Amino acid sequence: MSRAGLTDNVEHLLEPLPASFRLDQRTAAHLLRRAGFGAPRAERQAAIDRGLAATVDLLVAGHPQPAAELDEIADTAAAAGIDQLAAWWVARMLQGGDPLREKLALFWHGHFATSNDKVADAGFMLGQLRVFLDLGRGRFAPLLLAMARDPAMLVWLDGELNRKGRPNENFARELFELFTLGIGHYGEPDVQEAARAFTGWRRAGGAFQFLPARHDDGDKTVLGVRGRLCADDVLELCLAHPATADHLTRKLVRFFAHPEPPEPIIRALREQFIATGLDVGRLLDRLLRSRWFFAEDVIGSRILSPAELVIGTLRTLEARSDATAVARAIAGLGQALLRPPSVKGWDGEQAWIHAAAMVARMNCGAAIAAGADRLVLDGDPTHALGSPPSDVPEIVRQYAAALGLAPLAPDVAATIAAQVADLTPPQRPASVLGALLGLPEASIG
Amino acid sequence: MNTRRQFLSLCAGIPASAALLPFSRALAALPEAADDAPVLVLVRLGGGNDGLNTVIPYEDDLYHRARPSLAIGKDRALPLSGGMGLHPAMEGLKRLFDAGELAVIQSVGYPGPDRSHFASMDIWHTGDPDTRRRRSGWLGRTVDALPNTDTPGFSLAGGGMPLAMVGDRRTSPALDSLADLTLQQSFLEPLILARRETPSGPLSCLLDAARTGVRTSQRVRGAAAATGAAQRLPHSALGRRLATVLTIIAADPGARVFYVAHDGFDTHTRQADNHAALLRDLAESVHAFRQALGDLDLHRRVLLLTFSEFGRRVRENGSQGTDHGAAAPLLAIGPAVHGGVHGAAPDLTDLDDGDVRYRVDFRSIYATVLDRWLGVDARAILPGDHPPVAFL
Repeated sequence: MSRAGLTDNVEHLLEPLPASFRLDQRTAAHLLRRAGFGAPRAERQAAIDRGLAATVDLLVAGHPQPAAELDEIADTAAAAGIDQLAAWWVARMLQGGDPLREKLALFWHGHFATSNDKVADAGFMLGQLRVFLDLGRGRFAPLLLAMARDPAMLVWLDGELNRKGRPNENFARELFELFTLGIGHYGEPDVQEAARAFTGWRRAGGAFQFLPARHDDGDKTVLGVRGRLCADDVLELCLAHPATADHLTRKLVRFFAHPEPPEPIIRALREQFIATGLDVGRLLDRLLRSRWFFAEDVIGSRILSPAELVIGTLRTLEARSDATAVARAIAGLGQALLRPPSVKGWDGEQAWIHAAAMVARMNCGAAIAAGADRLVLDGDPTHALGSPPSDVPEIVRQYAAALGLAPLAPDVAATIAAQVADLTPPQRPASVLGALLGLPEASIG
Repeated sequence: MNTRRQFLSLCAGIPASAALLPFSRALAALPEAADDAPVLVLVRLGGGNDGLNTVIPYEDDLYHRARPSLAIGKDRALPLSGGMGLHPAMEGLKRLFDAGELAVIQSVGYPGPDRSHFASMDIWHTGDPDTRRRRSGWLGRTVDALPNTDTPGFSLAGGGMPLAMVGDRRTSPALDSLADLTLQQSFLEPLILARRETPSGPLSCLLDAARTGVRTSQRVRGAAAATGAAQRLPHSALGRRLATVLTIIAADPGARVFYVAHDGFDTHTRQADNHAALLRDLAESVHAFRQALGDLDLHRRVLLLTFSEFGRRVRENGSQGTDHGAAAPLLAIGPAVHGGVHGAAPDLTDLDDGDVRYRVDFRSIYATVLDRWLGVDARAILPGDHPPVAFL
């Protein structure tokens, strides 16, 4: 489609698909993969039966308390340490009670990327995670304001070192560059002045207090506005700046739809985002039921992050897993949850992919298929893929379809079938599964 | 029988359980130094290594007076030159010094020393004491600048990715062992290698990387068998990591940068035995690593450098240990170094708030390694100009 054609057509592309549009296995899997972490067969069928509109309604509305049992043990998990907290979070994602809430928490963790390697307090990390879980689907303003006072963030970006007369610019810099405006929309003086507005925090016991005596309440000029600006004033300036809406729209669309979205689509979604007061849920509501979202070049356009790949696979297989083992496997593929390599978070897409990462993905797939490493705790890892036919090429076809990998390239299907044919019938299902999970195609979503 | 292609076919055919080849055959099987691109192995001494008890000014009376229980005397120190000696546990490094392959650079640090582990390590990792942005590390940026190999850099730091290795373009893998580079199920190999298509979209980079991964896996498995690295080095964590590094160097001519952790140096309490054990492990592992490289004729390609986030205070504390300090010596090992002690002993009459004052900016060390060893323009990696240090 030509660029000119695309511009004219943006309204059409972002319209909700009509009631006559029927979800099928492929489109249902696409929706549930993007809006969450994939789904087992029954959930895909339920989406098909319910229809697109009702399914998106449910995804966006979510569930008020999707993980009550896990919530009860959250503090215990944090008290046991960061690995246990990561496992707790993985358990939430595996459970899938409110997929969009969990997917957005992962998105925000990558956006406000904070590492426990410096915070050194799993309780603080849990507090931050709860903010993402509770506020991640609403308007951006409450989330941003919460982050500016979040204890994990205060430790991570030196909030407690930032004092009247001795400013520390770390938070102000990352606020402008990464969390809101993006490069090119502010200058060094803005960072320096804004840093003064964020002074005043002191760590006392296990929490942070705001001490007016430590806060620089003098005259400041930030983004062209002069006054005795406090932290919230600076945050409001960031929220109101059009570059923030642009930056966030782009990140959200890249994460949920396509790594290189067309400019006209971004423009249209950004306009709505601004008009709704930067409402994340409403942006996704429009995106997930749009014609564009189900276009051929959008389906299968993304490379799955380690969390999406491993959790998605285990959910499709309806496996019962040791969440600690799953968290470890995800870290082994390059995504140490709650310990991102820097405040930039994870670039994603091709940044996940290099030779060693692909070997790790293949090894992980093989381990899942073999029920090894506590990734599948009991039963047959293939149980959810339907009883295996006796004809080997048929097993390959059936499992590929169930895993969302169909249609396989004919030579790939033939190679798998040829290798597996030499095995005894009881060995074949697991071997087919291991082969399919080891394909590069398995990393596409 | 020395071409690289023949080596690759040899490695691909060796099953993982092949018996150790005799040295002469292993040597003949490895590629010529046509692919002789230099390799840097950076060893982090995590926690803050006590430099004063590593490179010991055993003739300085002030040293002995400041450390009644910890000071090491002339009778025990392994002499280097000019009244300086190595900690007695470092026999392995003394041998390298005597062979001219150990350079000690005295009093390396930076202005305004930060005594916080995290903050100071960030400074060493980013190469920027004015660290307003903790976004990428000097080795990550270096890896980005290296020619077009899939994975020039590897991190072996016990979980997590050190900021030093975070780049803007490339991702370096964090490895626990060779198993992380080796395909566990070899039946997947033909599935990847036999594919002829050139797909479009995301599948293209996925299939490309998978192909490279499978080929590297085969070479690494072959090199592990051919070199028997694991048997040649100590079984400590550091020994095992250096054995992994050795195998990758032997298997993959594109591997250029390694970050290896050796942690535990935060010796606030009862330092003597802990520090000795850590230094003994360091010296034995590095010595064995150098020997094994030599046996495989790979030694000329490798420079090993140690660093730590800070040294420790001159005066010992009340618990027979030492607290966080500032400048400390760096050790550089390999045939390429100008062996010897570079710089005078620390002046214990002129301290920086009780700590050793820095004389060599750590960025000069990095710049020297970048320009004179790795062949990467230091000014593209580190802000500012940093005069080279004569150890290379």
